Amino acid sequence: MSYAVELENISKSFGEVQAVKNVSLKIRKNEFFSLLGPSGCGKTTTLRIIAGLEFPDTGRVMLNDEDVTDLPTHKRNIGMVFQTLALFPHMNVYDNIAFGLRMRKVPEREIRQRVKEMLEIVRMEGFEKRKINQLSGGQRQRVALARALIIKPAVLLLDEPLGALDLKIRQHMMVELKKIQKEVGTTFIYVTHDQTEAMVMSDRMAIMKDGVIQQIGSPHNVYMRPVNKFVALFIGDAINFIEGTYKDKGVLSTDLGDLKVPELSGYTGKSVILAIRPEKFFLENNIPSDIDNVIEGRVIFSIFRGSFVEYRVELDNGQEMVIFQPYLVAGQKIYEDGSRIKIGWYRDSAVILSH
Amino acid sequence: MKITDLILKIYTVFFLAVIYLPIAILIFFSFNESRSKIVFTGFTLENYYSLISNYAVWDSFYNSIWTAIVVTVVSVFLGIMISYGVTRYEFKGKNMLDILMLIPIIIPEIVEALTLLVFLIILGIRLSPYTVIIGHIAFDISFAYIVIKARMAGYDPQFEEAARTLGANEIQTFTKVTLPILMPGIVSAALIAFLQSYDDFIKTFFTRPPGFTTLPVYIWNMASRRGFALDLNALATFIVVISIVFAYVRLKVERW
Amino acid sequence: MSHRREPWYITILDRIRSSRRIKVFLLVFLPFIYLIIFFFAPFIIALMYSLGMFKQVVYEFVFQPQISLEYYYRLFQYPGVLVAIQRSFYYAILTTVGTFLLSYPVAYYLGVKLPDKYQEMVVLVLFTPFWVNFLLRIYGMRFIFHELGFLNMILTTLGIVNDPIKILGTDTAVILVMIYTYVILMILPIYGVLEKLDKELLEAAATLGASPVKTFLKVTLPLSVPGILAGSLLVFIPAVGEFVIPELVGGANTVTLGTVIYNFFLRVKGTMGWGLGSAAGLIYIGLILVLSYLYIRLVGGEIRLG
Repeated sequence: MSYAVELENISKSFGEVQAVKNVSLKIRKNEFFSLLGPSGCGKTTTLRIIAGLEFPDTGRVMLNDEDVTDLPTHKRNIGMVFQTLALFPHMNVYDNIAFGLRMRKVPEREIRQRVKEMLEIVRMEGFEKRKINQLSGGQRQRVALARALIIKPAVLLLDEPLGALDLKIRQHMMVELKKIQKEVGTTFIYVTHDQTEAMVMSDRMAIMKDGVIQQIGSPHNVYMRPVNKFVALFIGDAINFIEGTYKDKGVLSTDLGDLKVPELSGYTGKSVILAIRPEKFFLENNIPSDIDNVIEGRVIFSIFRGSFVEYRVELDNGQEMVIFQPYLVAGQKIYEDGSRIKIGWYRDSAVILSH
Repeated sequence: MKITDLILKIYTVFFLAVIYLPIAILIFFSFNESRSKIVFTGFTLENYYSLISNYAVWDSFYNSIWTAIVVTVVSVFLGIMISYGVTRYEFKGKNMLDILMLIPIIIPEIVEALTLLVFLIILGIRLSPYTVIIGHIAFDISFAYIVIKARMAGYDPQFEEAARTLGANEIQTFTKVTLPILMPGIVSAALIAFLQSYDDFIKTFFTRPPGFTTLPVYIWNMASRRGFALDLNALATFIVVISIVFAYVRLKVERW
Repeated sequence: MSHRREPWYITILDRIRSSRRIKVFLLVFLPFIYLIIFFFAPFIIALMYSLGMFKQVVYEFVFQPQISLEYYYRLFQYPGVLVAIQRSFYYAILTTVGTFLLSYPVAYYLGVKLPDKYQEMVVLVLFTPFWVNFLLRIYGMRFIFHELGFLNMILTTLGIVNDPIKILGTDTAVILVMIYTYVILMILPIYGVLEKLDKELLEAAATLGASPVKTFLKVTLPLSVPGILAGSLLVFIPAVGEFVIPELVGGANTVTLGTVIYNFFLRVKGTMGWGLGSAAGLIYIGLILVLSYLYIRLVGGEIRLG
């Protein structure tokens, strides 16, 4: 299979700091791929290496099966949307979008046609003559996108472009970006520290920490099957950890007693962490009869969050758990602070992580 | 507090009036026909006719303009280079350089002028219009540097990276993106550099060859005689108009 | 491969691009050499000259490895020089104090009281006159201070004096014109500080029970100290070396350090004139260095608020 982007053993240091450590990635054609991680994890550096704005110390960069490791940016066929958007303030919307085509010496007539089409795709028709400072945040986003897409790049690189937007517009732009990506059918590589953005838009994502890729997978896969504690904590709103020792046949020995967990080989006798998402729990009367695990706890407090209720529950060993319960029926019972409740979950709802 | 605010306001207006007073009086007396010069006796345009037909004024005006243009071009060019290097790259001694660049602005001109003159004398360099230009550039680089650097501080390096991802090479990036975006700062710097040179008296006075007169030197020659020369008042009217135009253009450029 | 072939200059640029050192050298240090040659070197040369390290042989100057204070010694022996230096300080101090007293209320009004929407316009109005050549403005002052001029006209009309007073040619004229010329240099830094002053500080002081006068004395004034110091430095340093104003509105009794330097260089001339002028200039430079150092110590160090 041929890939849009392949990184092979990329490393990059800035002075003493090793920003990217031996990163290898294969990004498929027409994929929406996110590089996700906290600031300083090397995601932006990785993106800039793909763009040719930084050159790796070691390793190879391939774009559409062509080795571009030493090729300067302007000779790579990539598009990029910058964190600050970097729309040229001395040009209007039209000239900004036309810039890449003019650099490629495309005839003005064709440019006019293509800018028109592009403005339709980003739904900015009629804004040609506007100055950049006359646009709203969301409109600037669209212009930046159009400017990068019009050159029909092999891959579009996006460096946290939604960071500066208000929450509502950001949510809207996420869906919009996804739609545009489907429409133009270009490979998108999206860098963000916001797991929601990555979850909403990505086909696949890579989670990075300290210059190293921790996990690559679909949002579903990464959410349900995080490979380590870092990924488990970074993805999703919250997660609960229970420490214990893995016994044979899918049983974990903890200070809450023996718990039924997924059956794994090679873990026997090892100290591991059980990770359970807050929405995986059943409470009291809702616990199905075939449930694998039931423990007890005391409600510390509850928060009504609209579509669900968040409980903080203290277990008998003093550990605090976060539990989300869907709020389905008006007048549904909310357990009072201090009340003791039963908590149940299926063994396959949880994940075993090594230390 | 209302009363003190009012007093402050009145005082400020009075202050501004006093600042404008000598200029207003200069222009007022430029229309004076009297031979006594200091007492206004009647309206005339005589002083303007005599100014226009005064060859020495035109000669010094010409000298001021052409030297200021050369000075501006060179110092803005060098100022762009230094400020670009300083904002874009990290290097040893950068802070030191930044302070050294300020010194030509802080040091009184008479000191700059006398040291440069001694330097020229010791090296046996004959005074000429070019020694004047050399002297002006030495302080104008600093003015250009400061203005352009202030503009560059708000300049996003991602503009250039964006241009490169869109297929522009180094030269295209510089001519199509960097330069146009920095243009207001450059024009502003050029205006200031031009004005500093065009308006300079002391450094010109020390480093000029005999007989080489710029407009400020001409004004000095006229004004340092004890009396009053009313065609100087007429000249003042023109200079005030030019100055206001300058101030206005600069404001426009700043807002660009 | 489908790469476009680049012209030769791009290849050279690529090579330059790969080295940060070459770029910094070309962009920063090459132009800076201009200042080293035509700004900083002349200071060293003038210092050496004033110390007698150059000797004139026919038309050329030859370096001689010696240090002599002869020019400095002779400078102070020269009739009137000591008095002129004293007078320069006198003028400069009065000018500094005068510009401060006259301009602080204006800077305060513009920076603290004036609504933001008028700021730009008023500042423009304030600045415009200073774009007019200063020689002309000083020349204009002659029309005001003349015995038949504007000021005397007002004074006699109001009956403050009976006969016109002589101002031109006196210390008063020099000091007043110096204040007029330098006042903008005092307003600017004070205005800069006051304009940036967080107005909520003043409201906070009021909520804590400070009267308007107390608020001014304990908050506004102490916070404007950096601006006042900067303004004082900006006014005092050039004021000490002023020679244009004493020449244009002063008289025989208003000779200053600046006049001395000017006279030695442009009237006496010759090795002796240049030597004495350089010595006078270097004393002035020494003064500037000391004051700047004190300023940096004062402002760089902590300034106590109230």
